[in-house]
Amino acid sequence: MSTSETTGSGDPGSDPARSGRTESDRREADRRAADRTESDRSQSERSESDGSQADADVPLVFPVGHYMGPFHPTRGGPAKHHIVRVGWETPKLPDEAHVDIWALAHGMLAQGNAIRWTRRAIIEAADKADMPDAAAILDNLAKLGLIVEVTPGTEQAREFASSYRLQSLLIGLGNSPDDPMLDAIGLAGVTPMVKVRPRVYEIWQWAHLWPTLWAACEGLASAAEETEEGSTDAADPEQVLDLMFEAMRTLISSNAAYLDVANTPSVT
Amino acid sequence: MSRVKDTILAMATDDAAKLLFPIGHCIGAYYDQPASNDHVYQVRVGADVIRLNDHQFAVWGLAHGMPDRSPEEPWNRKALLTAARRAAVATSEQILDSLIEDHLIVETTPGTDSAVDFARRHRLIPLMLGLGNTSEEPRLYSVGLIGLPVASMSAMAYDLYEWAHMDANLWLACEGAAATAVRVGIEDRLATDPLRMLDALLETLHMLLSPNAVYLDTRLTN
Repeated sequence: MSTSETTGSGDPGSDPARSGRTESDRREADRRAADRTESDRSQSERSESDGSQADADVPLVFPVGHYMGPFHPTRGGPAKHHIVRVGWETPKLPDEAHVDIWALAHGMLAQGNAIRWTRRAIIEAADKADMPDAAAILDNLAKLGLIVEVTPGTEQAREFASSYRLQSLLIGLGNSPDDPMLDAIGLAGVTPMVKVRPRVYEIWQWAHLWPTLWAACEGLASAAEETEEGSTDAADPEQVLDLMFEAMRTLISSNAAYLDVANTPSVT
Repeated sequence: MSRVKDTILAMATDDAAKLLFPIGHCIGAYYDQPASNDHVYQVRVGADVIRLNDHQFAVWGLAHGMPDRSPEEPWNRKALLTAARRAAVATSEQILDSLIEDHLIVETTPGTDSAVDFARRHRLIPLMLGLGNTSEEPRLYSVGLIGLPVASMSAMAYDLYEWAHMDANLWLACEGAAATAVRVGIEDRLATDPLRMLDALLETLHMLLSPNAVYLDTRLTN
């Protein structure tokens, strides 16, 4: 490379975790290590805000699929349905009420991970917003494969991680000298959609290259093991999966990523 | 003498028809020291991250096209270098050549074998949501963010926006979309002929690249 520097082999099929390392990578690893300290604090804060242990056992709800908008079959007529692409299928949101509840299942960016986005939380938020029939609509969305429920830290979470993948949207705007610990995601020339810490940015940047969330956790853990001397949590795929849930809510609620089923193409 | 003139004219026409496309997903600025202005820009291509300086990043960015440019004006070498000069990017011609050499910018001409080769080597990946069509204009589909459409397109182009990234490369996606169109009885050659579909896509792709509604990545190898 005469004008640029690569961190890897140049083979698009190569494992992202096995890319070569540079001095800049080492500094990036230091930044992620600092981020882990912040992460520990955040985990602790989350536990407090989560409420009871019983609540922690209630599954989180995530939306599934890439939104493809309303379909109007005729000029002047109403929308027949809204389309979502999930793998090679296109399940339909039959009416605006389903669109609203599916949108609500993404989470609320302003709340971040402060509230566990469970079925109950969504129904309460729907009630506050005067959206009727939220419970029945959530049932229907689950049947359509447009939402998935998962409890972090359980065997079911591993099954979930092996069945789904994360697909990234938008572009990276990176960090700034004024705010070096946060990386922005959005569009050029406009206010960022979201700012995230380095380990969440890393998930946004790389996780979509693996065929499943779990493969991404293993790959990112492997990369951390190679890059970060003496690292512990970041080199443990189970710990990466815990972080993945937090990252998913942040990224999905800002439309910086969506969940897809796992039988779609991947780099690795 | 007229033969020489014809050759020069043909070469100039060839160059004008060659379009420039950026490869890679923008990862943005990276400042690795607090309160320092030292930085690079990062672009991910496949499993690699390429680090670019300000001028390289500016030229790579310009290869996406400019949103206010007419779709009829081809985004070729001349157009990019004119835009680079206006933006006061130093040594833009040398930078462009080096980015082409490094495969961060690729030149190809719609309607030629090189376009098919380009499509076989790359993948088209959406970065925004589909916003569907409207009751006012059901033949046009838009993409963007909720409440912020950034580009409108035909049903055929929207189909590629939705599905092309599911295939290992863009040519397979065009072949798959054309086969589907045949199967469901569509007669428009633009939708049933993968070559025509690819040409139509490449001629308008900067309308999607410039607002970052899509990016091009290297093909999948498995």
